[in-house]
Amino acid sequence: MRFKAKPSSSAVRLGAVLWRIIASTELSVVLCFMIALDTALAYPIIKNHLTTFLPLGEMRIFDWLATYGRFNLGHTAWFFILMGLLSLLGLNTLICTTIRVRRLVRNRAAGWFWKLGPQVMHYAVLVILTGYLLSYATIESLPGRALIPGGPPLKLSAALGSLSATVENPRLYQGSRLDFFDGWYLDPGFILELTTPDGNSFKSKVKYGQPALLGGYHFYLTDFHPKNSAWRGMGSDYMTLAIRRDRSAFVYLTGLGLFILGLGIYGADFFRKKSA
Amino acid sequence: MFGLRLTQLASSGLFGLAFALSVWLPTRRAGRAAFVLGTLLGLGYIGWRYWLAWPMTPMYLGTVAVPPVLAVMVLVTEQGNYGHSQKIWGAASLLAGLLGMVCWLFPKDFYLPFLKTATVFSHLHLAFTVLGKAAFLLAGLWGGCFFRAGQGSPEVYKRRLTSLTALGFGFWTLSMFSGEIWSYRGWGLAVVWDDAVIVTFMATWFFFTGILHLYLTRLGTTGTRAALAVAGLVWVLLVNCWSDLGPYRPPVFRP
Repeated sequence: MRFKAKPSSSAVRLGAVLWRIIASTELSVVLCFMIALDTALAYPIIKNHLTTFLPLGEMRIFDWLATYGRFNLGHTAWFFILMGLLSLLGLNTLICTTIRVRRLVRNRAAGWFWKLGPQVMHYAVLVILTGYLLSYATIESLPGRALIPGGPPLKLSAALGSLSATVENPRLYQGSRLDFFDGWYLDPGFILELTTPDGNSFKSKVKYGQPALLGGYHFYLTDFHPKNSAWRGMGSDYMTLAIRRDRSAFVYLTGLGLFILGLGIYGADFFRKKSA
Repeated sequence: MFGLRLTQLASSGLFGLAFALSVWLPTRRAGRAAFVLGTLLGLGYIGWRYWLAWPMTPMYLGTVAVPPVLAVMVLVTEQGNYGHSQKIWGAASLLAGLLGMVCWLFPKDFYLPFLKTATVFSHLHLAFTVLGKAAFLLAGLWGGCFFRAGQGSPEVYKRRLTSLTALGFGFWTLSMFSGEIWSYRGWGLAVVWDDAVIVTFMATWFFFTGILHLYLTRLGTTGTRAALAVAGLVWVLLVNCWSDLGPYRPPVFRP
């Protein structure tokens, strides 16, 4: 005897209702407002408990959630709520957008391509959010490495080798517009030299806003001394670096590019309609 | 600093005068002259702050710079002599004057710029932030005028509310993206947690994402859009402008 599995009508109805909710624009709106409220309320919390959130940049997100996050729930609860809301919004966006793209592609009405702008932007937001999560989950970070420019090399690790630095001629703050900055170095530049354990050496320049890429790691200048040309030769010359390897950064950077592409298609469609 | 404070005060005062003249005088010319002069002084203030800090970005300019930029938007978009246009001139003068005066009484202009802001992405971030705030506030003024004025066709209001909110959203998105690239190039992180203000940017982006999506639903009537635009104005003032205010400084003139 063969039995045909027949879903109960109430289960089917429940599934249909759930699908309608999860694929609705109304849910997107509610989630957006909830995220807005959650992050706005987080502002005073972060301001008053900054030390809890600063390590987010130095350690992987799941380690942070298991330590700082879990043991300071009073002021990290908003972050857990945010992650939940963003996950729901991501799912909702994926379903809504895919339904609309399928409809557009299937119908292929005149000018259907120009209608893809908002859909590209929606997918871009998903790529950006995924990129953030991957980046925060997989980043390798070696913060607070100090070395003396022109001084002895700094041993980083057995795999990376050692690092030395020399000063490049920096630009000075011109004139006396702000007295405090008279004689300050504006764009301190250093040439970093990485000597690998097998004896090869690689050079790259590091400045504020311009990381050096050596041995697969990015070296970010975080501080330096002396900051004023008049203080040179007084000793205590140093520079500090944050060393990071973030293999997932390209994901969210691609998402930014994709969003701008979507915005461009949307703008072109707007002007196309206007001129017609 | 004395000259800077005086310029800012004069600019805010002229916006206030423009509002008063638009209410009390039947002719528009005097009010508009005060408005234009206030705008020029406000832009001069921004230029002065930039001249001092260049090539770094001036600190906490994100709200002080809004009144003159809002005024420029009004000057560019409201050239007609329609009824609603008059209301917008008056409302923009009042808001620019009040906001400028609050920034003058609670200044945060005493912070020195820092070296990591000497990058194009920092400048773009600031510029798009100011443009975004101004567009959102102007949309809010249009929303407010819809309820108060009862003039002009609802279609004009609907078009303006939608285009200004979308314009503000575009600027805000570009502001967040330039901030993100600045963060990636400067710190190697997607989000820098050193400054709590970062979450207020996210909050406003999601708030206006919600508003723009509401336009797609059945609630997208002109009245609803106007109410949402007013809510957006209040939101931007509370969430994004409040954080740029410093401690109260009594108006003592000591050159």
